[in-house]
Amino acid sequence: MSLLEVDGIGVRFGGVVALDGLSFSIADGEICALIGPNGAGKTTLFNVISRLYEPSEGDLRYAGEDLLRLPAHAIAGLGIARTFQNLALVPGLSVVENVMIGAHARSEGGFLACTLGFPARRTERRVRDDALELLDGLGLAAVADHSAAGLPYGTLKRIELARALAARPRLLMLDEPASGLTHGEVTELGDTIRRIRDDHDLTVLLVEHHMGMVMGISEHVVVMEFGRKIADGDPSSVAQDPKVIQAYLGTGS
Amino acid sequence: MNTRVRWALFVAVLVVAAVIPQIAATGTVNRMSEILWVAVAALGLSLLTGFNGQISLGHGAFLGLGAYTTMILTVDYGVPFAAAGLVAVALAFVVGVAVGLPALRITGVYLALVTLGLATLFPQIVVRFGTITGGSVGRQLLPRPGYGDSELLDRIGQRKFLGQAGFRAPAWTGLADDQWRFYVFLVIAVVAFLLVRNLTRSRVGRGLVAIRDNETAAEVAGVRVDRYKVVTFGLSASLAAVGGWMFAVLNNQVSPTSFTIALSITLLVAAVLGGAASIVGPLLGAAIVVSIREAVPADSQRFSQVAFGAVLIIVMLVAPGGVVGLYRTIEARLRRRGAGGASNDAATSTSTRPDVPGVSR
Ligand SMILES: Nc1ncnc2c1ncn2[C@@H]1O[C@H](COP(=O)(O)OP(=O)(O)OP(=O)(O)O)[C@@H](O)[C@H]1O
Ligand SMILES: [Mg+2]
Repeated sequence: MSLLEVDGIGVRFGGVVALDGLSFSIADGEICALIGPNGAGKTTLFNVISRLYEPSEGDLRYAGEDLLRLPAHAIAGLGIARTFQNLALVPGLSVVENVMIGAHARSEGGFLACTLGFPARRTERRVRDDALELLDGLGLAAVADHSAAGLPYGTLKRIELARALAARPRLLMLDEPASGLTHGEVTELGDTIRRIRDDHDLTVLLVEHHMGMVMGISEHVVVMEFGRKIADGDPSSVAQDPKVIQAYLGTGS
Repeated sequence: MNTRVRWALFVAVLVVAAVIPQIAATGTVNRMSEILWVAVAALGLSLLTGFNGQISLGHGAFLGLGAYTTMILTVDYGVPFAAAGLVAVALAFVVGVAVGLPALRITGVYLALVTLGLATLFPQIVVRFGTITGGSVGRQLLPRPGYGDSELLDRIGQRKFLGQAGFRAPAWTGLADDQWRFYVFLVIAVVAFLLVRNLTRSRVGRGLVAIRDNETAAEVAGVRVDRYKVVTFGLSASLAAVGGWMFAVLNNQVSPTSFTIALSITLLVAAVLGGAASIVGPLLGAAIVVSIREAVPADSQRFSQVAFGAVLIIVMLVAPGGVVGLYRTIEARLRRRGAGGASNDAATSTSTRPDVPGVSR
């Protein structure tokens, strides 16, 4: 059964066609990699799913829900969480608070409750404990109270991952999680993603240039070029697809 | 500073503040009352600008709205002070939301300009609606029934002010008016500061800071960015109106000259000087601002505006985190030295972005 269905999505920026009738679907529980040369439109698709970009055409269904009817802030509440290609942390908050932000959609308490303090306090403790546990699981317990600014890049990437997990997502979207990591870190990250998927029973949409990792952990690979899908299948068949080989050799990446 | 030390300090400051009016002269007590109204209004600005990243150069207008609402309701309609305050706060919330809505579409410098317009417009609106507001003369409460030049008041059509008592100490307290007023202000300020502290340390507070630092990240995490921004604008205006209520009660009079752009700048200086994204910051800033104004002779008050402008620039350049930010930096350095150079780089918690000093924790 498919969890997410991308159906003929098109996105234009002025004259640039970033997505051109893109269609594919992700099965519940799989790790699906979305690959393609720079500028293929991978991040644009993430932004469409996050409802940050309005597509000019197409449909987007998630667990039977029409995503395009919803505002951006409602997406997290459906169990869709993501990381960003260029980090999007909150430097004014500590690391643990950044992770707690990830739980915003599944905690409650509006202005009144939070100002009065009483009802919010219990949830607050629970959310903080959850966040600390996630940080601990990713080896980040030591920096929990550190400001989210001024930490090493690899650490920041893991904090983003923790923040996405704090949402307890059903669909986790990772935009180039391995970029800027050392070789050892990449291997470790691949294992982590697999473990997370198994432990938390979630579905992963992975955008990644690191082919070793893509082929190592994903069960489904979608290849894009110029906003279009050029291949879709299991890793080994996609890797042998002449169009894919051509796309990668053709752009030199 | 750990939490216990903070609370101890808080109680100590409260005790000192409560004792001073018993021994100090009326002038000093009123000055302390002034610090409190500036502090509460600056707290509102800190919530908006420091925590949520929405700049306002027009908070003097919300303060004026609160002060005028209080004055008009008590004088013309005989509404009790407390009730007038509640109306003022509610009205300011509504107006704040009305300003906050278009503020969703404009940010940064443009928002600064629009709110600056609000600040310059307010005195003109007051003069324009002179029949209610008393025009450029303003309105006043008379401290005692029958006090004042009744013939003059008749002539300028403000006869009905006569007989309105000011904010008097109830007999059972055995306090002088200035003492009573200060204690009431103190309670209001403590409540306001504790409530804002709750808010900034909550789920919503994190959302506000996330919006300030990275709106996309906030939205993707499920923060209702637009709603949070608008409500914060309303709350911030309400706090300014509380300051305005205190202003009216303290000064027994309002006039358009009290709520010019100079007041908005003063509030901004108080917020930034203390540390815009902190809770104690506005109080410290208010104390400093009132002291500066006190130090400047009455006949050259224009100079204090120049001084505020200069202070604002210097703070932005040298210590964008204000007094609280400086304290945090020093504390972090000392702690690091104490920890034998352990690489706990806590100094980074004081951001260097001028509008975004380190968040209070
Ligand atoms: N906000 C935007 N405004 C204008 N053009 C955009 C915008 N976002 C993306 N584009 C364009 O859309 C195309 C697809 O970009 P996108 O970022 O989705 O590629 P990508 O596959 O994520 O590439 P990379 O691997 O480099 O991250 C590019 O040509 C890009 O310049
Ligand atoms: Mg990209």
